[in-house]
Amino acid sequence: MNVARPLWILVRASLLSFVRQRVVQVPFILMALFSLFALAIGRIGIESPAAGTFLLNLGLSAAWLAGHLLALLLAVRQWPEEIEHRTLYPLLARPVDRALLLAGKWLACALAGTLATSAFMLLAWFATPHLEPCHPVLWIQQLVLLPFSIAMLCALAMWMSLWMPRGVAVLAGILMLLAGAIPGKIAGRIAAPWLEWLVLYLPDVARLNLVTRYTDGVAALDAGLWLALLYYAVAMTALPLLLAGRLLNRRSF
Amino acid sequence: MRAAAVITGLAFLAVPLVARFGHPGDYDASLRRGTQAGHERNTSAAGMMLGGFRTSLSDLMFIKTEHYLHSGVEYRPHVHADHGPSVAHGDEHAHEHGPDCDHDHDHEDVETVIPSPGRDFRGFIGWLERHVKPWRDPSLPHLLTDGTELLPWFRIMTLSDPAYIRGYSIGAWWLQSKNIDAALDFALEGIEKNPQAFEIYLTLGNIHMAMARRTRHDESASARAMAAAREAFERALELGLGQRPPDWNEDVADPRWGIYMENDLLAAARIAVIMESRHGDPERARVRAADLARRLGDDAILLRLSGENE
Repeated sequence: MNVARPLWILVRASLLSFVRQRVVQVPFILMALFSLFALAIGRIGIESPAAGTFLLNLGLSAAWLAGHLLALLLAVRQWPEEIEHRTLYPLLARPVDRALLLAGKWLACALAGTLATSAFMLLAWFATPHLEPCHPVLWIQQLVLLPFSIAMLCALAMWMSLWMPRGVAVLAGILMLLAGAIPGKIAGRIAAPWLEWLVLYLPDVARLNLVTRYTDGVAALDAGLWLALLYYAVAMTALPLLLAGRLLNRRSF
Repeated sequence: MRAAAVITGLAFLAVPLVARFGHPGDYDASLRRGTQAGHERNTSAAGMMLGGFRTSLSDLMFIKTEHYLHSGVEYRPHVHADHGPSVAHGDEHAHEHGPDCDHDHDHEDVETVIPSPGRDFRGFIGWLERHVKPWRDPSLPHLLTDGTELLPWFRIMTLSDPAYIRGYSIGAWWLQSKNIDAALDFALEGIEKNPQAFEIYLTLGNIHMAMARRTRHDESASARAMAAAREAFERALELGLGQRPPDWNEDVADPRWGIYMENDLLAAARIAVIMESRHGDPERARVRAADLARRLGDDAILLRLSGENE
């Protein structure tokens, strides 16, 4: 059975609906304002290379965060809004597999998030001067990791939105984005190896953020660590999608 | 479908194995741009303008500890992170504090963030603020808490930024009066993350000395602790001398080296000389004191230890 065409129709429909949403416009405006600010500062003159690197780190960090938050907000609204607006029933009435619906929405959110985040990061990268050396390979590694981290966050957000209230799902997503490493550090202090192992199952999207490493001028990731991060992202994407698919199939709307 | 589910499950179960492979953020703090770069960043126009957005979480938490220490009263110099306390400053108050402290804590006449009546043009609004928010007449001695409430902040600030040296050095200093073994672990963790931080070595020396005092009934344990203390102070002195700009002048603001770093280095120098004098060669200690006094701006205590001021 050809799934590509219905999948593409679903993705396109979702992407078109995103364009109309105000939540999409806000981060674009903010990043545009930051870029103008950075260009102005660059024109006036940056007093030291460290200040320039600070501006670069600020811009890239804000871009990474804004893009991921956008993806989170898009993903977490998909199913609850379809249910609230009762637009889910016409969708389910069509001869389309629920898993395909899920895949279409997830792909749309991941694609939109990736495009937006890439645009933000490139905007920040071009707008700020580069006064201290940073590893170019690491920059490419970061750009390649972007779709993986966005896809992971979208999968988790969609899965959580199917069984949690929307607000709680957003909060949980933000914690995974910003504070995913904290349980591990606390477990390390308690020095309980079993707990350290267990908390590694908690999703940590920030693990895929290379911005600070890049602006600190540290070397690129070696092949082993690079592949480990990709594996981490794929595994942390596949399971929530699988669970979300099961939830959708079992749930009666 | 079932096969896909099994493969996905197994792949997920293997995540900790892969996660332990490494973390992109795990690199030696010495690979970062350095403290001078941090100072340039914080004092740059962009840094100051965007301070509200990008202020280091650790700096905010450190200022929080100042508030907790002074029972919520905000004093002007202590709110500026660059003028925060040092380990040497803490040593001046090396005794138990508490709300019933029966002695003064001498600070220079520092103003509070909320202006005192004589300097406040706001009239009733100012009076209201002084009575609603924590405020103390700046001419009165500071009332310090016993430091227990500060400890979680030091832990969190070093978790969020392992390169925050002040968090480790001051935090371990405060912790030693509550749990000396935990203080030792905390200081050693700080050294592991920041091997070039002489301030943490100074604190480590203080902790070992406290352990030596605690185990004075056991001669060998006390001697071991004292030897470890001496080693820590020597290391602090060695690192500090290496980092201190040779042309440093306390009357000229220098982003590379602040007055509190100078105080910590002087403390390390004095203690190292005293320990050399008591546990090593007194004559060599005197020569060393004279040399250090010359290098460190004719410090009166070092000159006295050298015998030149007797």
